[in-house]
Amino acid sequence: MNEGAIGASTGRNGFAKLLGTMMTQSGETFTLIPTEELVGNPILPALHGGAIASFLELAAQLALSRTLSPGQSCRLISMNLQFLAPVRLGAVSTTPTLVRVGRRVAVVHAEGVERNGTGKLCLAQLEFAVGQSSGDEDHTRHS
Amino acid sequence: MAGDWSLQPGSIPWGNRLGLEVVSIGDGLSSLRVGWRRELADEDEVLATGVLTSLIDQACGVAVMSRLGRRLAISTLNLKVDHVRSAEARCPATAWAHCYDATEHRAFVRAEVWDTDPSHLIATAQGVFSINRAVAP
Repeated sequence: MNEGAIGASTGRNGFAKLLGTMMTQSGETFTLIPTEELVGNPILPALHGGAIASFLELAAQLALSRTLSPGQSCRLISMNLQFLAPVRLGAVSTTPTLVRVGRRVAVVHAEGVERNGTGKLCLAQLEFAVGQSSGDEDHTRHS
Repeated sequence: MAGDWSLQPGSIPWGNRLGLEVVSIGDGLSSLRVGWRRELADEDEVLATGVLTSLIDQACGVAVMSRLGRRLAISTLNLKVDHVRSAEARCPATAWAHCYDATEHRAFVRAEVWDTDPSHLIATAQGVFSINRAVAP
């Protein structure tokens, strides 16, 4: 477990920092430690689809960032989510797979699984735009 | 529908944590909004894509309830989100979701998100939701 690593790599990213306080990292595996705050369906209860998506996205982005060179950044283009089972209040882990890291686009798969079991909860396919991110970064709105 | 837990953003913890607000609901349509806060933003001071996905997911759920007009336990089966462009820095975002069709067990939804101008989209989405059961009053 290395919560510090998540905090350090999220920098000035407020939302990553917020999620980082709910996550741990061990090697290439990220784990979401659920709290009541993450619930989307209070009746089951189950975690919010958006919370799971945010966790898988951040894990995928952190995994991808490790392979990028210092001046490069990545930004999500598309995310395709498939839920397999309600995500209860247990811990959820993911070990993202970098399917392809090209010069402009990177494709990452992130599968959310129950940490204490083999149950698959959610599959995510993410496409990131890879670009330069130093001081002269292009801050365009991609328009 | 005023008493429906699902339509009250304050009763969904994650939506509450992000500050999602209902703008309007009715006839299979919903509009939800999220204000800008630093803890929801990325390093460019724009709302994080994960926040937009959460906004979309909840807006879609509310649209499904609105179409079916009754208390239901629903869950997201799949969701595809395209982030068309970054939002403006320090700008809130509004989602519009439309549950355009539903069968007994499934509901089909499209959503769009904009920041300053509804014709200038920052994200689009399409999803399918499972309708699990009616919720006892």
